[in-house]
Amino acid sequence: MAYYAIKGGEEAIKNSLNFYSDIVNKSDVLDDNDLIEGLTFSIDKVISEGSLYSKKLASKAIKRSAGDLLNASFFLRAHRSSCQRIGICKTIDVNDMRLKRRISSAFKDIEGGQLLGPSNDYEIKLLIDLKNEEVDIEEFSSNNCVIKSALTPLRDDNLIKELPKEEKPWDITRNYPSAPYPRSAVLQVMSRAESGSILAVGYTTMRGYGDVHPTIGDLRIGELDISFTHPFTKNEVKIGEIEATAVESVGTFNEDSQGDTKLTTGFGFCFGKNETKAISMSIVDLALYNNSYSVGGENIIAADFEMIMHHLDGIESFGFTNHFKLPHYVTFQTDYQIFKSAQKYAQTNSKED
Amino acid sequence: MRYAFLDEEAKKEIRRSILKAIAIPGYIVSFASRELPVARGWGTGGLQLSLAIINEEDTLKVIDQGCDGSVNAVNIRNFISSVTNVKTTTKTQEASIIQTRHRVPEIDLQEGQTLVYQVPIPDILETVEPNLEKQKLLHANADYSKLWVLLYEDTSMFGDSRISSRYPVMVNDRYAMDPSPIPKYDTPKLGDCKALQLFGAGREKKIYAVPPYTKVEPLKFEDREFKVENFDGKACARCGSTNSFLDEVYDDNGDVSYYCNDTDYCDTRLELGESK
Repeated sequence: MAYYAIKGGEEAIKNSLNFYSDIVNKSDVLDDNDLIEGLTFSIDKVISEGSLYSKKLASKAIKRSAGDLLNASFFLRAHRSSCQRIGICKTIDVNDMRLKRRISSAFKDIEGGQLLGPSNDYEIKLLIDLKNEEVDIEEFSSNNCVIKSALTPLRDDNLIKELPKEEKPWDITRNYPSAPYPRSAVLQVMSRAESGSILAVGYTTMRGYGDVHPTIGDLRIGELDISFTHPFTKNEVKIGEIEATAVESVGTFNEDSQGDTKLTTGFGFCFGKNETKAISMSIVDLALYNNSYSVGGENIIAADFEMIMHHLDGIESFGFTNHFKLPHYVTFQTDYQIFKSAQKYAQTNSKED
Repeated sequence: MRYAFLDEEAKKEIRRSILKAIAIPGYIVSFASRELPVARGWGTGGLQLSLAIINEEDTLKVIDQGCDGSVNAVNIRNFISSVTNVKTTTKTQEASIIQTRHRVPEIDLQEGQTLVYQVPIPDILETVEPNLEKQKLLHANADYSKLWVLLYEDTSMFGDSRISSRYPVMVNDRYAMDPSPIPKYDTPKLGDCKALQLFGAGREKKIYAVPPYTKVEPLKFEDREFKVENFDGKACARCGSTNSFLDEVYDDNGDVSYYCNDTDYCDTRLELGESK
């Protein structure tokens, strides 16, 4: 009789991890700074999805996962759980951003001008090098480049629909809300979302499953100061800076709570340079809060709070998808027995017919 | 690193949620659910419960699909013991905390023991109503008609419910509850159990509980028998047991043998000389 190996998980895990280390340890030769400087967009994706602003830890996480960025985000999230929260910083206003890039597709010219900054939008994607022209890069410092959102004039004229303000923002990491979901919680979920997931949901609205038809009112990348109330002196102190992306997109007009017809906007915000994700987020925000004006019907994915609140987190969706690799032989055995008895029931019944 | 990995605030929150869950048997309590170094969907709900309740006096047992030696059980046990230093065991009787995925141990649990279930889908209503807001309303009204309709339709079409594992139970005559994907074989063990039973769903951020000696019954029609998995005429090829949940195993020649799914139960029988 063959011996049925009921134990051995311990050994198996060790071996598996050793094999895996052989692959992953090759990343040891990479220098943290080279990653932070050289693979800056990978770093930014990881700090955004991992919802922890530390480029240094993100580079460590990317090395630990040999470039699997979702896995790297997972490392950051896990690390986050072991850190005690010290406090909450002062609310930041994206209008105060020291801009590296700021564009608006809603207006030809805007206060402060279109500032293309570093962007690959007009890069020709060829792997071979074309003849490079020597270009003198303009001297530019973002230090004094603080310009309000391009939608400010419309907002000052009271043309933009405002959603009711929450007194205190929700914190999904400390208390996950039940429906109806507060907007601050919805925005947090989207800001931490897996980039590809929110892109796909945003994209559905552009293809008939909703009709948000956004115009990018203001897209900005730059640095924001983080201030904190000193626990002893009670003074406002700057404790650091973060690099972030913020987007305001404009949708169609809609009635606000007063019954006035106003332009609708959606907001997107993420850590780091994450334009596609921030645009997607602003579109989903538009769809969620202006559902009834969606030509594509009310039952669209992008305007469904249940869909958005429970399906965009990469750490969750990837974890659960991978859990199917776990042994399921007990559940399979029970499924199998039910299947056999249903089959028997069907056979007996068809004979009776 | 902190004792039991989680920061103290997280533990406090989880403990409060556990107390609320115990106070309302079968009721689903939301909690924040921290990310752990183990992937979501791999037992992070159960793990957070274990990490929040464990202390130096505890003895820990972890099983996955009935087996202490299964890869995920080993992984979780190693992680918990690496952040707590608690004693671990494979013996059901010796453990004060048993974390389990999809099985209830064969040996009856005792007072003072806590069985922590890993839960993938916390709300039994998900099968008939995926919207969380509506689920909450249905529970509030104790409106389980959709589950009854499903049971009726299945019975009329297939002779019995198509639900195999995760069979719906009524707790304390009030809440319909998902017992996690345990086989129907284990469902009767939930009721009047001497141990505290805690259920944790990490990804879905929910905790619920069945306190000791609580009435738990499978959802079924009065005139229908609750049929569990059947191993009639089969015995464990290792210890000879004819009254345990058996795994079906095919060897290289395609011959089938049966073994106790609960490996500790099987080992104990062999040690005590209760084998065939």
